[in-house]
Amino acid sequence: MELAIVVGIGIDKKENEYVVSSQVVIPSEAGGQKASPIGYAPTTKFVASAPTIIEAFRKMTTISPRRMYTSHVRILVIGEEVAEEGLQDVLDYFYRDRTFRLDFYVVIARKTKAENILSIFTKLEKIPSVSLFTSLATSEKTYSNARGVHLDELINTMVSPGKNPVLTGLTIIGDETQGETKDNIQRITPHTRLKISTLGVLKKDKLVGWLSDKESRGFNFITGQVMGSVGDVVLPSGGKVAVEAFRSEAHMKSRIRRGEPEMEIKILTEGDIAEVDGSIDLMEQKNIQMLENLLEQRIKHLAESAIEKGQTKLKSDIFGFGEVIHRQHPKIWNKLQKNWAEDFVDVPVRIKVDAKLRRTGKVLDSFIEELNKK
Amino acid sequence: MDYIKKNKNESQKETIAIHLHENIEKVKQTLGNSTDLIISELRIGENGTKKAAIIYTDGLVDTKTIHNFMEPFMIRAREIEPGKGMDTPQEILRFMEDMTVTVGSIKEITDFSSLFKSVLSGDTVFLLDGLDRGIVASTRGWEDRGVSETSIESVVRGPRESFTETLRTNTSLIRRRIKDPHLWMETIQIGQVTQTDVSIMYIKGIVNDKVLKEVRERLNRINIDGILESGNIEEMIQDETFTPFPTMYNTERPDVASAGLMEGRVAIIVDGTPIVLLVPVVFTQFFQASEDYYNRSDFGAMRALRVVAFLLSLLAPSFYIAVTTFHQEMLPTSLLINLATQREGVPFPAFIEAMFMEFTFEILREAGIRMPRMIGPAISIVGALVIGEAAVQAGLVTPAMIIVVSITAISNFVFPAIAMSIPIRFLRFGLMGAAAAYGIYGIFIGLVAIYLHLCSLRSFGVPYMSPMAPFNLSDQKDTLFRFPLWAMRTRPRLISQKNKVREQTQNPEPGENRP
Amino acid sequence: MILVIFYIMGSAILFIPGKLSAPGKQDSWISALVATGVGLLIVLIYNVIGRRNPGMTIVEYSEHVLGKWFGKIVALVFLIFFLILIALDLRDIGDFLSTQAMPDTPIQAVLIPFLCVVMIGMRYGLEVYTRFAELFFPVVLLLWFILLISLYPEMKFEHIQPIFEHGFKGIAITAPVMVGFPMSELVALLMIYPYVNQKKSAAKGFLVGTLIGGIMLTLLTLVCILVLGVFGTVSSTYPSYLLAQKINIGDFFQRVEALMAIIWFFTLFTRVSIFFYAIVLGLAQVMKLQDYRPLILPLGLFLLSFGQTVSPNIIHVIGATKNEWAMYQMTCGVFFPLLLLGADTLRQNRGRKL
Repeated sequence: MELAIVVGIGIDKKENEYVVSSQVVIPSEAGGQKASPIGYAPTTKFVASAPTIIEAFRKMTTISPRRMYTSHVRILVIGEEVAEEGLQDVLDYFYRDRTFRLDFYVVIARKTKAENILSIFTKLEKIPSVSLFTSLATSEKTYSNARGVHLDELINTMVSPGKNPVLTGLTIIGDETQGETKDNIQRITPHTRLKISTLGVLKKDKLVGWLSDKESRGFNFITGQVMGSVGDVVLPSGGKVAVEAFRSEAHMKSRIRRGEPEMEIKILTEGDIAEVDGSIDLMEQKNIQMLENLLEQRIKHLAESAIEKGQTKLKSDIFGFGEVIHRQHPKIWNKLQKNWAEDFVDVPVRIKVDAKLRRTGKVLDSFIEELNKK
Repeated sequence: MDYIKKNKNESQKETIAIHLHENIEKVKQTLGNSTDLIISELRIGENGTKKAAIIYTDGLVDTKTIHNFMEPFMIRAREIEPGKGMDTPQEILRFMEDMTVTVGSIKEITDFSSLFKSVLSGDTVFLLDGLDRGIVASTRGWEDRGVSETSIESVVRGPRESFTETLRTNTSLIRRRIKDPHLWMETIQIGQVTQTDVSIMYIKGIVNDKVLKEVRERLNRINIDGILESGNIEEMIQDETFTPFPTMYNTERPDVASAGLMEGRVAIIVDGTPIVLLVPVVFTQFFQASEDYYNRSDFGAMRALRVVAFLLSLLAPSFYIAVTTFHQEMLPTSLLINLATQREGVPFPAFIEAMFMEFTFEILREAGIRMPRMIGPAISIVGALVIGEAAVQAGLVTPAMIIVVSITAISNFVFPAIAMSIPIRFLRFGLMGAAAAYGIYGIFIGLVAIYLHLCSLRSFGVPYMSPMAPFNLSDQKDTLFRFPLWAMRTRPRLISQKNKVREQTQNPEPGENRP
Repeated sequence: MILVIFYIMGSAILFIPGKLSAPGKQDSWISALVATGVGLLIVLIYNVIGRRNPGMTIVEYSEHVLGKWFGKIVALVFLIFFLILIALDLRDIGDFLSTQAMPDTPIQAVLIPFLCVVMIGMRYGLEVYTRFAELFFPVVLLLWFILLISLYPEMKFEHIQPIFEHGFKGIAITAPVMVGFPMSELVALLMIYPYVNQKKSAAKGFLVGTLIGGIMLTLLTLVCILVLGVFGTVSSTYPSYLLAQKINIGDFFQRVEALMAIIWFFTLFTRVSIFFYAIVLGLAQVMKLQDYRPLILPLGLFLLSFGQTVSPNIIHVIGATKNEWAMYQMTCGVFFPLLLLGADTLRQNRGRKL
């Protein structure tokens, strides 16, 4: 097993050459109990540049004593510049080479180079790439502003004429250079951290822009990807109630009116009351209904903002409207397909949200009610 | 060999002479005047004029029986007198039979070869001067171990008895369990020098006659100088010599042998060994413990566990080798990193490492069987501490490898029939080689070869892999799982084709008259 | 005996989804279903042939029907057909292992042990070989269902919509692919037909086996599209292998593509063995040999090199097997048996008239 286990790969571009950086695990530091007391870095980074990606990988062996072993790649970071220029030339190698499995996430380094992302120390999880992988998976489940995209899904959406892909962005908070030293994680609050940012929107294979946090969540609501999210609604009486959505579904329907397509999106959400920061009598059924209504409006607002951004600003069908039409009206789609990129912008979209509040947590009414009575 | 044959032919020709002293001379000469040969001459008849002798081998006879047999005889010895109706051997024989009801059987012999055979198997020969015959009294009785507790196939629930080295004891142990008149037994002597008694037992009417005939034929075909253990017999009559898998079942448990008989198998019992052979046998039988039938039927599912253990014991090291050298992508990332950490600094490739550990274990195991019992604990300390702990400490072996080897070793002892663990030991090494060369593909190729071989085997005409291949649905009740006894209505199909119905108990439900 | 039939079917699992989906897009699973139906019809023909001449392999049969020389030629056509098939299968193994597992190992080194095992099986004879198949049928079936069930969370039903987009034309284009491969290849089974113990259940088993095999392939195609999508299925060299890579249940039950490889190997092994058996037996019958065993080793050695030279590269394998190949297969698998049957019927009628 004389291998260099690559867990993360970063791709940047420099004067027509790919700059490939790979994060390699140092087993004696990363694995369990045996870590040496001195505490070297658990991973190291090899960087090489070459006209093709595979060549860069092979070049790395000139600086690494071991063969690069890429079956355990957890994360593929693509530099923002590369993403803007287009991914098509980058991805084929990862899809073709037998050592790559399809279970890693593809992300975009936002406002920085991919190389830098791979040189930050992380806490809790020793190996930064694994840390990113799990934190992406976790935030996808509990906050829903991000989206873990696997390579095969990315390629599938890229080639689909009726859908454009999104990719999650990664940013570095704090000083990049300080993050490279072990000192970074010896502090309670590290100087530098990696943060999962919002969704980047691609048009075909080119990055065209970013959704905001709000829009990202709206996007996930629309595509039915929300597995858990939190949203707050502002009460008429002032104060806020936070609702934790634990289940959400979305149904998209296309309708053809006078040869022109229309989209109808129905979002069904179930949630619990998670936090009450204001005065409201939860024991009243009508108040619950009011909360549901407010929540519906809130989600609708999120979704609309995402669609607004997608249609007017970025002009990219990340929602897969085209695919829906293809599925439901295959004949009309044949006509629409050619100019879909332009036509998509004008498709009227109607959003219906149906929110249900189910439970209130450990307590029924908030103590705030009681407090205010006296 | 030649000498023995000549000798045998000579003595066969020779008949017992009229004069007693000639006969005694002859006996002494042939047996080389061995010290355990007892010839006691006595005088009988009125005035003690008639000379006689009894010959027996010390240690093989029960002296009490001789005593019982000689006592009444000696009291009336004076009556033996020519002219008193005691002239012909027939008359003497009758007289002795009258006298000696306490002895099992009395028979008459005329030649030396049967004289020697009788003497050497523990009978007592009575010779009378003037008679050209000898009289043989069955006085066999020697020191044996006695029926003791099972040492190889131990159980928690079930009988504790095991077979002993004495053929007669063994047959009695089976007889005691099956009192059916159809339990038949045939005995032949095999081995020109050892003249070992070999009995085959079967239940007439259940046993497959073809198999029985085949067993008889094969046993009769044996022409060897000596049989010391049933393993010798096994090797001479098995279907296929070059196979690691046992094609005969061996057991030291009378209850297992009885169960086999009732399923229509033939038991081959060899004098001088507590191991009884059962034929025919199928592969799955080696996964079945007698206890499966004594415990609740649910626990019969343990057999599935044994199959898992079989695979583990066969494949664990080779799988480890394949995964760590070829297929690292099959491990979850965290596990891979963990393993990589362990392997850091180990100077050998996984294959050498595994070979080294497996080899060490096999040596330990072999030593464990052979060494004197007092040294046992010392060896286990050396084995466990030095090989295990120190090898890891020294960085020669990864801890994961130790786990793999231990699992392999332990799983190897799960089978109720130890005979099955031997082929696995061999094949394991072969598969490890295949894994080192070709990874999982190599293991696959090896497995296919092994299973093809298994499918080609037959035990006395019965396909080894039955009832799985060829498939037989009703026999599945007693293959991987054990169905409740009342559900196993038929005997295994391929073993006994007639008298199929095993039992007709209804599903035991509480009757009308419950309290 | 009968269970061998299941195996023939399973062998195509690695390629069929990709091949069918290329022209058929999301409807290819319907094509698979149609092809299964056609396959059943073909098997009916085979059954008729088998029943007409109990105790005769197709080689003997063609000699019997068409006369000594012409019959021998037709028999040789069959044998060459089998020979090419077996070589392609060997090539598949080599390519698969080189692509997925052992890029550094030469293809000969991969094929030698495989052929060795096949030859061992042949030496043991058909019966042993069938028992082997019987023993592993439940294992393969179990693994198969484990795979399908554990893929459920990954399935996206949008992938197969819209159903019937390309109408019956699309289906009609794709179905022949599967009728050719693997349905027509069933003709090899006519070589072992006379050796089945119970003739009546053999005919039934043949049909049921084809049905189950066809359904398994249909399911696989369906699941491939459901999980990987049309593009993923088409563009992959080995879609089913990719499929197994997608399995991940609770972050623990994952990376189990070896399971798929094992199923594939077992089925392919069965398949190669049957072709192998068909060839050596057929050759022995054409040459009027008593025993087929002396032919095993020469054929094995021949295949070792033929397996590599049969096609220059993988694109050729996949490309050639697409259209022309299906035609060729159907010629051998459908046309010739029909020809034989027709000639036989003619002969019999004439015989009756005379």
